[in-house]
Amino acid sequence: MSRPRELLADYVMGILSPEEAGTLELHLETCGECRREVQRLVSISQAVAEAPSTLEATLSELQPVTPPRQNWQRLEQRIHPKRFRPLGLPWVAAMTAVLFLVSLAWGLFTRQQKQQLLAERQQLLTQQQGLEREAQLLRDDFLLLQRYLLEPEATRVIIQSEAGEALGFAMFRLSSEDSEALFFLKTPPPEGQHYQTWGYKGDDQGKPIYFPLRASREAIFTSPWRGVRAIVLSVEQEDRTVDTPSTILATLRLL
Amino acid sequence: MDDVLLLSRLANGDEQALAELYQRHSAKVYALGLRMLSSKEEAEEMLQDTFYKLYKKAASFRGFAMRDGDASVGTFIYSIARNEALMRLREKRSRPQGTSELLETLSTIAARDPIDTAMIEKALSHLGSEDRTLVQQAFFWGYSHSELAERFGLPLGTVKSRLRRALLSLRTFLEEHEPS
Repeated sequence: MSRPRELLADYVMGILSPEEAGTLELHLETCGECRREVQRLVSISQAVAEAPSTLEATLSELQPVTPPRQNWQRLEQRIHPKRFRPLGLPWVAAMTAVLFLVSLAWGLFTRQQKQQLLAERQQLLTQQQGLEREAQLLRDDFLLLQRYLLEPEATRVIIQSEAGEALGFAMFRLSSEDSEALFFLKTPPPEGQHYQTWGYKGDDQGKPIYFPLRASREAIFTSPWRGVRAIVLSVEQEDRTVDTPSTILATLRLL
Repeated sequence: MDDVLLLSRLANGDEQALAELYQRHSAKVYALGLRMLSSKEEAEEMLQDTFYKLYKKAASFRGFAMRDGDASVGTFIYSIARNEALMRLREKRSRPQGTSELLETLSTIAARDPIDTAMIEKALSHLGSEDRTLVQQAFFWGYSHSELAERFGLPLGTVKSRLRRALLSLRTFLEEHEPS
């Protein structure tokens, strides 16, 4: 016995409870007439859903929503998968090569920079060492000067050339047992030359006898003085050894 | 340029026409996807699938479009979109209106022999405007009856009885007017 259309319509529209639907489905398995009717109603519901007027009515109330921009690009990629394949093997190879070259160039650049920095560092170190040496020399000179200047009984003698030009001075500490005299000259010796002090004790057959006391490349230096009659100051070539003064600058007569 | 001409150009391989149709209709198709699938990602995929299908099968749509005029191109695109969305819903087995296995089978069979569009339009025009809207909303979106009751501000019982009446009225109209 077939079921009323109302019940079948309710089934198609999903209004029935699960129990009612289950009972009806059991009936549908055996009743061709009801099954055909259900299928007809399903066809109608599909036709309604797909009818142009349904689409127009439902879409007219729908507010448009702009899709993300990349959605169109993805669609293009689907249509032309080859055109949009920037990460294909040749591209990867090319990118790898470019990256390699860039990193190589960067490596060379940084290496060059490193070498340059190392050279600059070495230069600065050399300069620093030079300055430290000069500072040490100045400190030594200061201590030396201090030792003589603070001595109350020190005697200062002006060093003058034969022409009467003042070249500097010398200091002797008479009371001290110190046998060194301080020589303080205005200028250091010319390039490639050095100052030399000579002791003079007397003449041998009318010829003066000198013996070397001290050589210095600086303007301030000390020299032995005790036991001589005079000290002769000369300038000498650095690469030559001589027995007598070459160019006498001044003679300091002591006693 | 109208939609019919664009579709015709697309059928002849003019991809610029696809870009133009996408420009015109994608926002509505996307909104449709969002409403039916409740997922941004799925709506985007559905949108792509819809226009991809349009691109691939433009030639077969051309005849229909020429016959039915400009508005039908849009209708065509939206019906492709709806079918794509329904397919996704079926795959997920999460159609809002809980369908049984038997109903699924009957739907598949019914889809192979659709009712003539002009006939169903005629049948729909014989319904009262409120019943027509109710039945269209229910079958198009697959709304549950409680959702419809809320949307239309009607008691649940009224919605159910009106839907039943509308469906049976369509059934009777078609029975009386379709050639046997």
